[in-house]
Amino acid sequence: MNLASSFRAKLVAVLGVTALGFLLIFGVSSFVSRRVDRQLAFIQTHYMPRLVLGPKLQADLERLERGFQDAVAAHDLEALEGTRDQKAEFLRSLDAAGDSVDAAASDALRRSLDDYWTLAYDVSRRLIAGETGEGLPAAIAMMQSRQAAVAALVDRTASLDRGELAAAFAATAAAESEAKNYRLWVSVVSFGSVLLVVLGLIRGLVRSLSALTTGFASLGRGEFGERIAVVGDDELAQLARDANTMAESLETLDAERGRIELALKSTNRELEAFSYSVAHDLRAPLRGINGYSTALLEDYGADLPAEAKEYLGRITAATHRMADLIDALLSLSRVTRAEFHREPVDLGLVAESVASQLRTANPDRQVELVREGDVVAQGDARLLRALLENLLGNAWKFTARNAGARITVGVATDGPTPVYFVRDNGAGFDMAYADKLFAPFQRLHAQSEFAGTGIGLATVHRIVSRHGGRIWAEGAVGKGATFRFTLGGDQEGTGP
Amino acid sequence: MKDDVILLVEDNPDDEALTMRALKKNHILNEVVIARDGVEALDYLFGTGAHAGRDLGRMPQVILLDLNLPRIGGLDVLRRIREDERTKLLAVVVLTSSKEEEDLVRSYALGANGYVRKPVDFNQFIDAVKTLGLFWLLLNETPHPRR
Repeated sequence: MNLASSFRAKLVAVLGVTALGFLLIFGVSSFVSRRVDRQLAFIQTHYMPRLVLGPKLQADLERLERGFQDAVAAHDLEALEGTRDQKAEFLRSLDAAGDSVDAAASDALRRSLDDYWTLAYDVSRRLIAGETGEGLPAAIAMMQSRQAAVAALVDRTASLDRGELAAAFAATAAAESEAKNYRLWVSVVSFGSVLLVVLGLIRGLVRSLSALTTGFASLGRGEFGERIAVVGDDELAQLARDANTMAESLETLDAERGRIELALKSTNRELEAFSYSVAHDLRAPLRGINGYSTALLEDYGADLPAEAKEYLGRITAATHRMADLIDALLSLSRVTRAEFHREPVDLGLVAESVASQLRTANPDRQVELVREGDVVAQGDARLLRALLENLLGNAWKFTARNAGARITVGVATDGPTPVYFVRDNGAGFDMAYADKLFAPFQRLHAQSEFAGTGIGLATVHRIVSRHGGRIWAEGAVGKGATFRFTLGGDQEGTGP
Repeated sequence: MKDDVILLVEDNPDDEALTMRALKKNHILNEVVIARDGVEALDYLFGTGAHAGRDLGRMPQVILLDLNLPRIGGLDVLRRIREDERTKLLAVVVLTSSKEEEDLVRSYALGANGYVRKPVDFNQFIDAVKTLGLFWLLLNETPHPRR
């Protein structure tokens, strides 16, 4: 079986071999059946007619005899002529037996019957005519002996050799048993060939499939340099070739990705260098401005008008805000650059720690922190701490004007992924601006109302993104705000 | 104690002036040697270059070291200080703008004795310099360097 063909060809081949097998079985079995049939037909034509021939001929002979006797008894010449028909009847019966009787025996019987009939006719005619004579009894005796001869010939012709019949039946039985054997062997050979062909095909299929399985497994592991062994020339082989083409494309893409990754790494290094110089070089002039303003106030404050002193105060305040901005920007960029390790983090504990930090920094504030349930997440501990520092810091800030300030940290686990939340009963915000919350430098409150850099929630958003999660906020002016976020499923955190 | 020298490694003249002011405000009247980059700092410590022939028996009581320096960076200066028998026991306090975790880790890994971030607010800076002077010039005992 040639495996280098399509499944259609293979299917046709299997069907062909199967059809051939059935044809063979059918042909052989009909051939051997015909032999048996011939044997039976021979028995039918050769022996069966003879079984009925004897009694029939005897009956015909008796009728003929009675015909003569009746005609003589009735002195009826016309009835005597009727015996011709009865003789013909006898001959018809003999003819009907056909080839089953020996031709010579048949001829002898005919002649003997003729002899008998001729004499019986003559004797009967003379008896009807009322002849009496010396010759008559002798003729009657002659007639009787001829009748006996006919009867004897009938017996001989119709006789059947039982041994011969038995042999014929035995031959039939032998042919029948031989036919059975032939049929059995042909069936075995046919089904065997079909089985062999099918097994060959299955073996080829299994080999192709296992080559494909191994190949796809290595592709799945990202080993794009591996190639799948192409077995045969069927659809599976085509699949293997296509997969190899795909692997080639993937290899190219992988190399391309490697180059891009390298470029990205160098960009990241540049970004890092940039952040570093931002940290150093932008803060240094601020220190100068702040330091000299302070020195000016200290050394020449007495000589300066009140307005000038106020300006100097504003200058130093501005340097503080600028320093905060730089720090916030740095922490935002740190979120992007930081390494990512996912581990179980008890957000409740982190929230307590952040809250105690906030209490230390603002000892005059009374804020209640409520932990709802077991708030354990899978994520990067440092990033999640930065996230809660920002969210709790915001909540802390925006509840400054509330008497019973309360911040709730919890989780809703009824959905497919846990949804964590930080809720406060502070100033809230207008939902119309909800989409602006997470963009850098976007603020919903005046600096004079609540201080801030506008970078905290951008940092939070980036932390959630690095976890493969989502964050959204709900709130209303004067009715507090709720920040909800997910931290992705079991997938790794993604880069910037 | 007033004989003890402070080595200030600082390239920014504003920071230098403000540090001097802060020292004065805190009545720290020790001699302050100023190095404006890593090379100058190492020249002073090992008596080379502009400081050739210096009496190496007189080593600074504390080195205030900026990290971001021209020519030879602060971390390299720190490494060379720790590698040399004559200087490896000196007190080095990193005084810098950076609060990057990596800078902190690398500084301590190279044997820094302290790490102080320069605050933007000058009054806070005065407090920081006061604490530094109090600790390193008055409280802290350092081993006598080998000759």
